[in-house]
Amino acid sequence: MAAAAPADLAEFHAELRAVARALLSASPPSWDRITEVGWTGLEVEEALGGADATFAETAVVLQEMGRAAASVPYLAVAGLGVGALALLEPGPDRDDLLRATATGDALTVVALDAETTDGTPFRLDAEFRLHGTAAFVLDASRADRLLVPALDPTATPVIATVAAAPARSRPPAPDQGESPAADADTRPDSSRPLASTRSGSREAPDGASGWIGPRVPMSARNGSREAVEGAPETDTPRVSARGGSWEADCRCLSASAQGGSSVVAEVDSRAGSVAIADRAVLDATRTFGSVVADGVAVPADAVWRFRSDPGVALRRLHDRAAVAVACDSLGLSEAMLDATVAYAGTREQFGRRIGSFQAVKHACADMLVQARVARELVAAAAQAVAVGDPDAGTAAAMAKSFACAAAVEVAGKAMQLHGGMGYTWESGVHLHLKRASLNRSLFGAPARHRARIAARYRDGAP
Amino acid sequence: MTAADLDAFRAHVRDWCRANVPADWRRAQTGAPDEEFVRFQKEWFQRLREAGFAVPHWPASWGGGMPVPEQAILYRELAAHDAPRLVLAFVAVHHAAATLLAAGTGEQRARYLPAILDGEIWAQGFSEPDAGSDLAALRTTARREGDVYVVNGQKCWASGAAHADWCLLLARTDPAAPKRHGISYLLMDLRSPGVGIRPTRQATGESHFCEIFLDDVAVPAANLVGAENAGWRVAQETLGAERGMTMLELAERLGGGFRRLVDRCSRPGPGGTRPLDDPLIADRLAELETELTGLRALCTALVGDAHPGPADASIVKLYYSELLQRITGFGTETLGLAAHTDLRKPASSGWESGAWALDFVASWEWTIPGGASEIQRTIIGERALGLPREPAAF
Ligand SMILES: Cc1cc2nc3c(=O)[nH]c(=O)nc-3n(C[C@H](O)[C@H](O)[C@H](O)COP(=O)(O)OP(=O)(O)OC[C@H]3O[C@@H](n4cnc5c(N)ncnc54)[C@H](O)[C@@H]3O)c2cc1C
Repeated sequence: MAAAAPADLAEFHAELRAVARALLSASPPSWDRITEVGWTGLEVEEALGGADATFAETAVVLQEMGRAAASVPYLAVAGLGVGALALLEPGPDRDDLLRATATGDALTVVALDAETTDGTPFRLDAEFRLHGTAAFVLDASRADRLLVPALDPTATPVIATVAAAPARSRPPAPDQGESPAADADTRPDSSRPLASTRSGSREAPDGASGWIGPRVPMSARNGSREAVEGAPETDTPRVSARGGSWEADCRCLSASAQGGSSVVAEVDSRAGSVAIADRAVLDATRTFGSVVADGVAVPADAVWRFRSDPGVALRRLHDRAAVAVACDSLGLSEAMLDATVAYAGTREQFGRRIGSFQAVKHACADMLVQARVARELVAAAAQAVAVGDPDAGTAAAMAKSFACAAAVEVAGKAMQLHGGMGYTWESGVHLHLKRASLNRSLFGAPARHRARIAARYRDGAP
Repeated sequence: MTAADLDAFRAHVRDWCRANVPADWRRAQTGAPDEEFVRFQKEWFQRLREAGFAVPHWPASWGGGMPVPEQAILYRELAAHDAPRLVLAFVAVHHAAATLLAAGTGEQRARYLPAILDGEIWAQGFSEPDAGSDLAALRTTARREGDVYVVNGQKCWASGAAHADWCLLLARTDPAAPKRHGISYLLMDLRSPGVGIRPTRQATGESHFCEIFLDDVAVPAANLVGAENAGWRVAQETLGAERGMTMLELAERLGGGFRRLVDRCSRPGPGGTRPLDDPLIADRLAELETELTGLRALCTALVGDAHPGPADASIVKLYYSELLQRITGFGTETLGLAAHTDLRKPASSGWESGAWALDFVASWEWTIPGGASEIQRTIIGERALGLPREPAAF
């Protein structure tokens, strides 16, 4: 993939973008379809049911997710879950989970604290009990597998794998009241993706529009589907949540000695628990959960190690998170720019289309300039992450801080230029504005990322 | 008025606030059903009225007459004590009163002003689907038939209309005249036959603004304000009130919201550190406080000036609305994801309720209506600076 000629790559990205845009225009977009067409497995090796592509391709889909303000856990699963698994030492258990995540059979979420730009709040003590709290973990309440980045007793970053109860089996958290901003018509049904991917009916992706586009310039195409269909069933036995308790059951993954398929084992409740509670946010297209580990024992074989320098690997995971959100914000900006230009080209006041007024035209021009700069920074960061560039962190910080701040301004201008119509619920502009302002804080506010950029100056950079 | 007088007045307002501001109104008003919101608003209005605080900006003969420096103190103390706002009576005490005082007849004032004090609620029915910024393009018609006008058309975005008794209405009485010369200003009873009201859901999820459908509604000719076809000029009084007098209170409320933000930033966040210890945050707060101080001074000057400049009200409205957006945007960014967990703000609170992410979205309630920011800038350029006019006339 990395060897593909730039022109082929651009063509492929354009096709992928077009297919993604079409698929995501369905309202609400179907998580089933998204996993069927293989977008969760874009970066996964062919042998594990994936498309053997890179983060640059995932980034294209992430951007379309932002454009559509889609309420699916793509960022959590493809952006972070797959990214984390790929950084781990291969092995039967990891491979199985990666395969299941790629195909949509497992909804794997990384318990990366959504307010941080580095490190992890979790640690394993000498008895391998897991401790720590993350107030906001993206899509934790939809997850059935949690990958918890933690420091082991030698302060080395590892991943503790923990099974979580599906959100639908938990009553709502106490603070999630009924809200005017969270009504059923727009509130994503957090249980749906889980329920449907559980069903086990994985139809083969339909040829022409399916998989990842008709003419993929990568070797993966033909082999990949066979790889999926030929793969052994990796369905994990489900353990239902204990009735009445909204805490996730304390269960840990442990692997059976042979066969390579993972078994979910309950951990004795005296050993503690990992509790996931819904955290409702104003942006109704997103779900969060808080994750609290209060000493749950993690079996040694459920502690997975990074394949290369663990500190660098954790750093890369954070960079991926930042770039993934930047992609989403770029998509939001482009959607708002398009919608505003379309509106300004038709809405008339004073006998003219409002786009003919310089105040409107100039504001649209500023939106475009911001989106264009964001696009360049995001593309560079996505590429840096895709090839594992050692300077990816700087590119990620620039993309995240710029694109996410720009999206708030662009969506705000969109609301302004749509006038009273833009302020209605029905117009949907508010969805983008709320998501953009959430994205700005997600995985580090712009100032935090700029501080990372500035920290290099002490070492004589740039 | 001496400094001692003002100090005494301040002490009086403080005592009153301590005795009268309901302790837990924020909690009670969060998620309160509409009827409870309306009941609470009317009760709070009467409490303020008894104290002489409901309409301080009205002339003394109608129950106001408070000097501007005292008004500034009153609003500052109400904000400092986190008193509920008069949300429902807003259009009545500002827009309707300003219009009647400037252009109403003696009988009209005597009929409507005391009734406002007794609790009548007003809405403003100016905008239409195709007449927003270009208000003069409005198409709702009023046809004179004997001693009534028969009104037909559709209004939109009328804030609070679902709970209002009366409506300030602009309608076209001379379809043949140039746009601005064929418009009349009417006072319409919203309970008249032929009036249909439908709330529109807003970006915040609430439904305060409404569509108003008018189907052969009879409005008595006695409810005409100003001369027939002279409604455009009368409407400028209403819009002037929106951009002017209201700002004294709103600036103080914004000051109260700013104090809440400083307070939040003084408390330790998730990592144990206080946002205020971050020099970047401290710097931005100081910048915003400076802007607020400038806004307050602008407002006091505007309200105290017997002969304000032709675009002074636009300057204040533009600056207030965009400062509100900057402050709520900064609060949202600074407080991180926690700022996004308030899914609703208390009814009866202001545009700086402390549910920052929601407040940020709601700040467009000030940059869009009553002449959007783009329109205000054009007005300022043309009327304050005398720059050549845009091709499209304002
Ligand atoms: C929360 C809210 C409450 C409201 N309450 C009321 C109410 O109580 N009563 C009432 O009558 N109305 C009310 N309105 C309506 C409000 O006054 C109008 O929305 C406003 O005048 C803008 O008109 P519009 O929505 O038609 O936008 P448009 O006029 O279509 O404007 C769209 C965009 O084009 C820009 N634009 C238009 N013309 C020009 C120009 N010549 N030069 C430069 N830019 C231009 C505008 O600035 C805006 O950004 C309310 C609106 C909102 C959002």
